[in-house]
Amino acid sequence: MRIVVAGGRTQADFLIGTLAKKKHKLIVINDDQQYCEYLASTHKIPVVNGDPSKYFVLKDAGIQDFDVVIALTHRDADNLAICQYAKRCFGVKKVICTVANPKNADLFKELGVNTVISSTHMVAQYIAQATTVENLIKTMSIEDEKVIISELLVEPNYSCVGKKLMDITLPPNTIIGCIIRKSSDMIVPNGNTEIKSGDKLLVIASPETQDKVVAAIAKQ
Amino acid sequence: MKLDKRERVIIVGCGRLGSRLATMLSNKGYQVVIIDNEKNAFRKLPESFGGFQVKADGIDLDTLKYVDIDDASMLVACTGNDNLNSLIAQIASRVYGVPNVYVRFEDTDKELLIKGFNIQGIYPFKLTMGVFEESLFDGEEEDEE
Repeated sequence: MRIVVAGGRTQADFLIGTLAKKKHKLIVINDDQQYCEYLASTHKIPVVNGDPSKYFVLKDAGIQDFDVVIALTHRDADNLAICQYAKRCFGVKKVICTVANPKNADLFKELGVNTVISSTHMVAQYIAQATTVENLIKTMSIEDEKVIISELLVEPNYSCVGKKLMDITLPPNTIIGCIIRKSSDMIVPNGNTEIKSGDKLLVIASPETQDKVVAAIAKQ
Repeated sequence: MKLDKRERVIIVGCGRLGSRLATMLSNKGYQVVIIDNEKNAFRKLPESFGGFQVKADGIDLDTLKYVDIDDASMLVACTGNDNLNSLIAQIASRVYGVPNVYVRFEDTDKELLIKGFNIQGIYPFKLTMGVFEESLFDGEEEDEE
């Protein structure tokens, strides 16, 4: 794919490294000249020095009909301008940007940006989930937070230890999808699988049922 | 455009243009709300200014909801940053359907961002060029040939 990375510093550097490895054709636009020199020498890719929220900079960079534009500047309004120029004037199909203010995520989608990433929102969500229960080791959400996958450690004093899955009552719309046990790699359980102390359970739930399923398993 | 005197005008950016426009409209009896994130910016308003001053971030949606943007008849985006102005104007026109939206752009290329929407662009560059054309060539179009 042909991808433009506009603005940003560490994020841009990291992203460029990842994308370049996957053999995408990249153009990088950054308004900081020294950083441009650094990026050009590190990644061996074309780098354009200029403000990417300006029309003539995008035009000179030659981004016409590129597949993706990713706007990573620290100003939300600049990112919107970059995405809108790309879409309206240069025929770019997919435009992606980050926002500093999480409230702008839905707004920017309404104004035509395909994907809006709010790191503040993601970090806040991660922390909120991680602190619900101490035994929740990791959680992640997919499909815009409709599905939550949590990793739960089974303590010796839990009442579910030694029970078969079919004998444990879980709330609706939840399932124990996988068991990670030290002695074996991983088990996709069935009703006859027995839970042991020290197991790590991967529990799939919705945001509404996550607390309930954790409470059901962690019952002593 | 004629506005009813009871109708509300929101001005974002209390610079030279914003402050003078707010003062003029307020003196003529309109309900004016002026927003700027810099408290000192409001010093440009005269003592007699009868409108509301809101010290807040003009691109924050909560600020615009706080000043009842969905109920405003007119909004002028005249901060010192073109991209901010573009964003504010688009929120007002495209999200909240404010009927009269004006935006000031230093960079005339920003016109491409608002083309096709119900937003009126104001370009100091074009106005200045107009003065030269007017005074040097009696208002004739620039002849390139």
